[in-house]
Amino acid sequence: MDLESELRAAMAEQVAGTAAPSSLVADVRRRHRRRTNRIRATVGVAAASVAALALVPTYQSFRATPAGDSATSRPTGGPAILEQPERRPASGLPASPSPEGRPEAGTTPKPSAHPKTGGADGGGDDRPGGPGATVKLPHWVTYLPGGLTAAGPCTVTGDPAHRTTTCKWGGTAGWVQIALVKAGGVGLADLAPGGVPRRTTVRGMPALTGDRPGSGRQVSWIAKPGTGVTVTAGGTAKEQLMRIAEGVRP
Amino acid sequence: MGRRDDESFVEFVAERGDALLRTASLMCGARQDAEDILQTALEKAYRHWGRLDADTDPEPYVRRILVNLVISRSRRWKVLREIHMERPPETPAHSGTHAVELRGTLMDELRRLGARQRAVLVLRFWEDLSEAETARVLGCSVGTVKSQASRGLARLRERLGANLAPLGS
Repeated sequence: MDLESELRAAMAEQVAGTAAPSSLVADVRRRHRRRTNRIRATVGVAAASVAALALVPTYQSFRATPAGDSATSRPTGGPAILEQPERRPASGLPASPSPEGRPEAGTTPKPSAHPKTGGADGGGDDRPGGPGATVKLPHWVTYLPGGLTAAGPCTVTGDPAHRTTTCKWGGTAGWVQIALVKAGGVGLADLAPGGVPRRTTVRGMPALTGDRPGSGRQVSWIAKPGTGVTVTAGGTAKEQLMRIAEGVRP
Repeated sequence: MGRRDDESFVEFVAERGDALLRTASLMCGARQDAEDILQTALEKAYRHWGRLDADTDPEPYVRRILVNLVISRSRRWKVLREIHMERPPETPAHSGTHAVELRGTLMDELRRLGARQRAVLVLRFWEDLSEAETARVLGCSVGTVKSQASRGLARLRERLGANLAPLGS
């Protein structure tokens, strides 16, 4: 007997009593169901994760502009026309204290090293003026921090081909100025702040931000072709510059 | 051209389940591993069963899945299968039941071959496939099958050594 024949005989002897279990088909089907369920669960979890990742920024962007409706629904004869902030300043001051009552009044702000999420800033000396005439918010401004009142009616300068609308607010929370430039060939470079600007985005659109002389900070972007926006803020309002910018809908 | 249905899968497993399990058992060496691998192979075939042509025999397809699974699993578990012994294993002594012991030794040596070489020997000498059919199942050339079978048999002869003397080889 040669090796091949002996190998055949050995194999036959080895598997002589081997038979597939009667539940083989059921086991295979069960295994298949388990695999299918596992894949479905994985796909479901992945889809939920993607949905969550997509929805959270959307929800945040909605939260950033709550003042549009409330500003218009508020009684026009009330003393304050500006929306109250959702988060109060870290100092916990009342909405309209006198400047003398503020513990940090008169302090010198640090414009460049100021963290965005930091506490209240001084900035009292940056205010362009005291409370002015109470006018309604322009329809394209949907959010301003509390403690601000309009410094006056919005001013319009230039000609129809290059028109600039400027609105200013001031108060205990610092000051805010929004300039809306409507011109045919306006570009981001025309609105860029002085110094070394940094790139950022406002509602997904490319923007430039930088510090202004003094303690102000500015952000500029092209909201749509032919319409540029520059938002400048000083004092405590500077911390909410990006939120104010997100609320500008020209 | 018809497609295979669920009922034909049940019939196929009932008819060919034993043969496939024996092949798996010879290629794996352990019965439990063989059952597990056969279930995995059949599950893989079951996924695409509806797409198989009803007029062709599905067994070569399933056998190919089975062989590929055994080889890939063997590669993956190669490190785990290496068992270090404190002393060398005992060498079998000659006895009156020489043929029975020789077959046992032959199977032990077959298990110690590489997965691909073992698969070639099982397909050639257990399944009685031709060299061309074996090459098709393994997805390699006929020359590779010839060389793998030749080397496998040579290694068995070398390892069995003196035990093969009664075989006249």
